[in-house]
Amino acid sequence: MMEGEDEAVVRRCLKGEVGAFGELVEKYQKPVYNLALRLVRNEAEAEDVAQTAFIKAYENLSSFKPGSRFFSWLYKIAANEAMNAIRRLRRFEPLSNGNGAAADEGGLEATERLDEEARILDALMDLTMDHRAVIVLKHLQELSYEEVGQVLDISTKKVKSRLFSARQELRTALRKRGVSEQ
Amino acid sequence: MIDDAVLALLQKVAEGTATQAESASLHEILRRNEEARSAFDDLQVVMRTLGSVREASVPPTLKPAVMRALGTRPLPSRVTRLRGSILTLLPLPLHPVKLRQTIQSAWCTLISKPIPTSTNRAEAIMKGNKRIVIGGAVVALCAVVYFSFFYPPTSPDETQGAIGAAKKYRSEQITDKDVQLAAENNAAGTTGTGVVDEQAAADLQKNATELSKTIKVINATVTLDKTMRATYNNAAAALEATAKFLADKPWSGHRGVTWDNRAMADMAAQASTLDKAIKSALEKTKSIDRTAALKDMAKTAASLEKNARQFEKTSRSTLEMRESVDR
Repeated sequence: MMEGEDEAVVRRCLKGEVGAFGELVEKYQKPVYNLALRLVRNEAEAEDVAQTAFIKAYENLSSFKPGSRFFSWLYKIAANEAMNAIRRLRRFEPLSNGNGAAADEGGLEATERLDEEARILDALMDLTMDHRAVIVLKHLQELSYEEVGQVLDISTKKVKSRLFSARQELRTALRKRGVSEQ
Repeated sequence: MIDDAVLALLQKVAEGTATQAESASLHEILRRNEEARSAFDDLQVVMRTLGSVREASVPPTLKPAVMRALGTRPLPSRVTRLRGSILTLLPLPLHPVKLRQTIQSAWCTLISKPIPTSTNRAEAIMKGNKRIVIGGAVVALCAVVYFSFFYPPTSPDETQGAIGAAKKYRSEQITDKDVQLAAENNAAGTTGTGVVDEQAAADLQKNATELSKTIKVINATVTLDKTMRATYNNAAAALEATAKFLADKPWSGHRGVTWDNRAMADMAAQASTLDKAIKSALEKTKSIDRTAALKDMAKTAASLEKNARQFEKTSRSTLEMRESVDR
């Protein structure tokens, strides 16, 4: 489904075809869920964030401007939702012992933590929210600088400078967590 | 400190978007600049590391949950749609367009003017028909006369004071009958107005405290929009204020205070029901379900706030009156 096709689906939804929104959910559920998961690092919370993002998008579909990119608009909603969740988690479930992980502490998770990938993602949790968002959007969601700027409401120039600082911060976090230099 | 231009070049090369010339230029810079070389190495490590992160698979429950939630929500274009549907429900003569046409047609018949059509409307407007002005003045005059002399319509009962003896309120001397114990009064307890039912007041205070605690949990754990959060907080604040007002037993020292025990008992029950419903909503595992349940209960919270404020206002005024009578 191309960008124009997204718009056509949006128009169908606005005409009252609720089921049409399912096509957009199907298309974007993976990137939206992954965005949420990489930002909140908690599967249940990420699913909640993704659900809320889709529902908010649906409820505000009439404010979506035709001609703009649907996925940028949706990502923006999802990123905001994820950031709200992070703030909430930080406030009410203090990150234990400052290790930066808001992840579940179940047996499976504990095993996963031994995995390099889990350590990378934990290192990501050490970053500030702005830095984490820019890294996730650019490197894990593979958005362009312009798209990252649109989602985070900042200029492309700002994206570049923030990304540089974020990568440096991540490098330090990776070292701290003993992630091997590949 | 690495120059901004060098930083941009570092990122471009690391991301693989640099031209050959840019890569060569960076190569030259790295050869001479230790700090840039170290930054470039770090950058490459970070990018390689992030490249190894796999995409997570989507929980199979995500889409069905979203679609299920959408089924209970209004359509995105609900404002336009609702307005249109309400208008279509109106009897035809009350539809705004029809109504305008009907009035226009009646007015034109009254002043013997041809009903304007799209072809002659512009011409009619340009002529500036004097009859419209005169007609308007007559209608306005009729309205002034009606509202000055005949409005509001009165029944014979309401005019008896003008020819009969005026009935004035006289405060009676307080007797022992005014001071009643709850047990003695049929109206006491929770059945209506009567002497203060202190048990109902205590229940209300207890339930108000409990509800406030639960609303604090909402604030702490659920993401709600500002309006809904304010609705719950206002309900808690109003109820707490009422509880505080009752805690001072403001009726003490006044004889025979008539108290709205039913309102007090109703509020206590309403607070308890809302509290239980919120607690049950908070137990839902999905935040979406929690939010939806809280949305559904926001009306009850708003009603509770209104009742609490009304009760406090009425009670204060009752006490003031009683105080002045006592004096």
